[in-house]
Amino acid sequence: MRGKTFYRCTVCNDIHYGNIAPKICPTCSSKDAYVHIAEREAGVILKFLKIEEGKIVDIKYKTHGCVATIASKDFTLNTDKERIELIVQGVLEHEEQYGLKYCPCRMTSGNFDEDLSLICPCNFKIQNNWKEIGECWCSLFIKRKE
Amino acid sequence: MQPLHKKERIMMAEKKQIIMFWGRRCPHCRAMEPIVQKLEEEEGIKFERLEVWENKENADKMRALAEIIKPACGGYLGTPAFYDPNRNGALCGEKPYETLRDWALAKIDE
Ligand code: SF4
Ligand SMILES: [Zn+2]
Repeated sequence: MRGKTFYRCTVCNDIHYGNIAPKICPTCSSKDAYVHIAEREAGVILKFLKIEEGKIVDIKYKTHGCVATIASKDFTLNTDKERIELIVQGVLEHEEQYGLKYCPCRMTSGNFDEDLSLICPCNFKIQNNWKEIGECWCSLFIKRKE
Repeated sequence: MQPLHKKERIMMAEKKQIIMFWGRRCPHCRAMEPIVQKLEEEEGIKFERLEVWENKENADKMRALAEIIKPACGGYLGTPAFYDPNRNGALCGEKPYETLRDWALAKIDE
């Protein structure tokens, strides 16, 4: 067992991070095309790592803004602009400080693996908040009304 | 993280304050601040505000209370988390004035 690591599709260079390589590439549909690669290679392909003459010259995590890319049928962004701005500011500050977009409404436990569940957007549909009032813990995302 | 020792808890309780763990970019904390202020003015309840993202010591204090805070916050170290050292109990999140007041004034019934 290798643990979580990076894989690259040899056909389309899709990068996958996980315990096992996907059988079928979700990007180009090639079968059995993934090879295990080093984190460094993954970083360069994903453009968050720039290496020149053997040295890392730039580590940059591309910022999408945690909310810009997300769209779903059953939830939407809160319409309270002030709230969104505060949350996104927090998320981006945490990314700057820790390299990860930790949720601004929940403190990290200090256990790295446990805290991976705090990266925004998180899997908020497992939270009681979502089940009971239809919001993520921060009320950044809210259930769409039918 | 070591759980909080009984001795430290007694020291916290002696101050007769509710501890409010809060985060500087948390919208719930921001919403609760005027309510907390109103409770201080109208009910004389004292709150000790501990910001957890900028102050490492405060973060450690909160983590030391994980066993109490997590169940009150849906399984996480959610903010704001109100902690009453007297009865070793916590209340979490955005709550109406009355809810926080009743909780803060409740007698220890252990
Ligand atoms: S609770 Fe909301 S704001 Fe916090 S990490 Fe999850 S999706 Fe992001
Ligand atoms: Zn592919």
